[in-house]
Amino acid sequence: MQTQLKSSFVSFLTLTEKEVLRFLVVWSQTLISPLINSSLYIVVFGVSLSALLPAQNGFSYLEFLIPGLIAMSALNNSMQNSSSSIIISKFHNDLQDLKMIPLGPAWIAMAYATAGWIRGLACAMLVLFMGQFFLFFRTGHLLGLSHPLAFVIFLSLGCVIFASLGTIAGFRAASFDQINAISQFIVLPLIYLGGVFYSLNVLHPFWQSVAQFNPMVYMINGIRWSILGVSDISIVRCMGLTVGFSVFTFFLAWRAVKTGNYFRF
Amino acid sequence: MNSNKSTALRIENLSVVYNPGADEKLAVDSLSLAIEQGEFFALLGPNGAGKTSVISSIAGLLNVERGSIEVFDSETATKSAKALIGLVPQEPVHHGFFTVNQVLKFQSGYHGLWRNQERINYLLENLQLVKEKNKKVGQLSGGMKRRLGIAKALVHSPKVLLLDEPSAGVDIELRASLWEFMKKLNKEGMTILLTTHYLEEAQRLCNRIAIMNEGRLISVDATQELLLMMTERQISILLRSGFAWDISLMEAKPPGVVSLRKEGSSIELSMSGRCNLRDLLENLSLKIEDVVDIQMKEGPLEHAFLKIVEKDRADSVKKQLR
Repeated sequence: MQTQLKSSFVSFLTLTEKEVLRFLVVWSQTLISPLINSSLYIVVFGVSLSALLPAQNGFSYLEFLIPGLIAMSALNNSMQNSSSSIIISKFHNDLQDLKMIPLGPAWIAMAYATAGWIRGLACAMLVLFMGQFFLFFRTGHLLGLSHPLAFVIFLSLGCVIFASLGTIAGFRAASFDQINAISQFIVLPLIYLGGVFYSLNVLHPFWQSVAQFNPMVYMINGIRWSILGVSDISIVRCMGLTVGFSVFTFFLAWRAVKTGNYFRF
Repeated sequence: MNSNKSTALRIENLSVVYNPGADEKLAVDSLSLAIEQGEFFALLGPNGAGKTSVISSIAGLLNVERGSIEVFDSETATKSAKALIGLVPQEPVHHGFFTVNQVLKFQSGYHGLWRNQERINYLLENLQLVKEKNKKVGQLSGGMKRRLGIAKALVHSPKVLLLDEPSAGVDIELRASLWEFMKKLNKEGMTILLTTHYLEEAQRLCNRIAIMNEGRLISVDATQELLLMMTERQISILLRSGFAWDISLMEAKPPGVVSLRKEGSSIELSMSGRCNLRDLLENLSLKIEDVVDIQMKEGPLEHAFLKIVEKDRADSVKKQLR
């Protein structure tokens, strides 16, 4: 039993290592490209248009925007990491290797979640440093972390949720187009409408009610709260729902690994 | 067969159906087969016979929904069975991002082997991949990728090796070295199941041969038995000089003899079925002292294969017409 557990753990670490190395090999696409993307948002909205945009929850627009961009970059890249790796592996026909190794689906789902989490954290840190650079350049001060532990927890759970969503999409999708469609038409709109660029308080009450059904709202608010110390929603509710989503999406990822398609499309 | 040997692979009533429902295709139909430990076993058949479906089911790539497969008494697709199997798939895989050594390290790790460089080096040497060790897989030629596929299948020292047309598109030199290495592994006790369209390879390497057609197992036999029963052996009897043997004196062809002719001082004949040398010489009115040399050459497996498959097709047509 102990030997089997050790063997599974080594296997899990190997798959995680492979997934991390994969995104590091193509670092310009996986780390620098999202950093440039976030930097453009900071330059356009946070710096150039900042004077025209109203303060949000008592913070300058740039200060308000940085946590949102950290969340967006982390969540989006966590998902991209697993979904693109799986779909490329299908295309290369090496995903079937995972079907023949003595590693259970839960371990496989966990390895993809861990690798997605690492990429998500790396992207979050890069955006945080870039945001701090622009903020310091413009105001002479830096953003502090109001709740460092909560920051790590919200960010990590958010990354795990999105990496698991990427795993589900990767195993269920039969083409690159399907993966792009899921990302472009479902996930990105939910992230954009989840409060990256604005406080929910500025929305019409009807749209505020609608926004409650967007799970991204809770993760983005949680991350913003852990940095700025302000939230549009009860933080206990944010934490509870984020934990719930992470368990639920991990379960779905496990199902996708167990029953999904491993073969070349 | 050595009675101490255990069964490496036991397939019972395996059926594989693609697209279950109205448009379903029965790829494998109630196949039962047992392969003993240490056998070099060939699974042959025309395209679409179901060989790859069988191999994929054993390797755990396809879920076994009808029938059962056991690998050394472990049900297939379980962790213990997966640890015992290595598969060389029909199509080489890509792994464009990583080097040859990295791919083999990952494969080792997948099997729970954290430090396995010694085994990796052994495989790199035997498969002539040492120079390619640090090259990215994307830079390798098709033949090199095939070798890498074999190294991957062997990195965890499996007890059963599944080779799904491993020599397709491979040059003669590599094929020869590949088979030498496979023979060595087989001698060391590895059970090997091979599918190939190169029948001469199966004839040369395998102890037993199974033939599939349209998803059904239509023949399983020891290679020698199959050749004996299903092919014509070429026999050349060299007569002592000065001995006059006249073919026209033969009233009829001896039993089992398909063709018979005299070529200079030798008698050339082809025979089907078992051959009792004494009876043959007697039937040819020859005494042993009249014979200088006898050469026998087995018929090619290709003939047996075609005979068996054609007979099966004819039987199927007859059944359908009934």
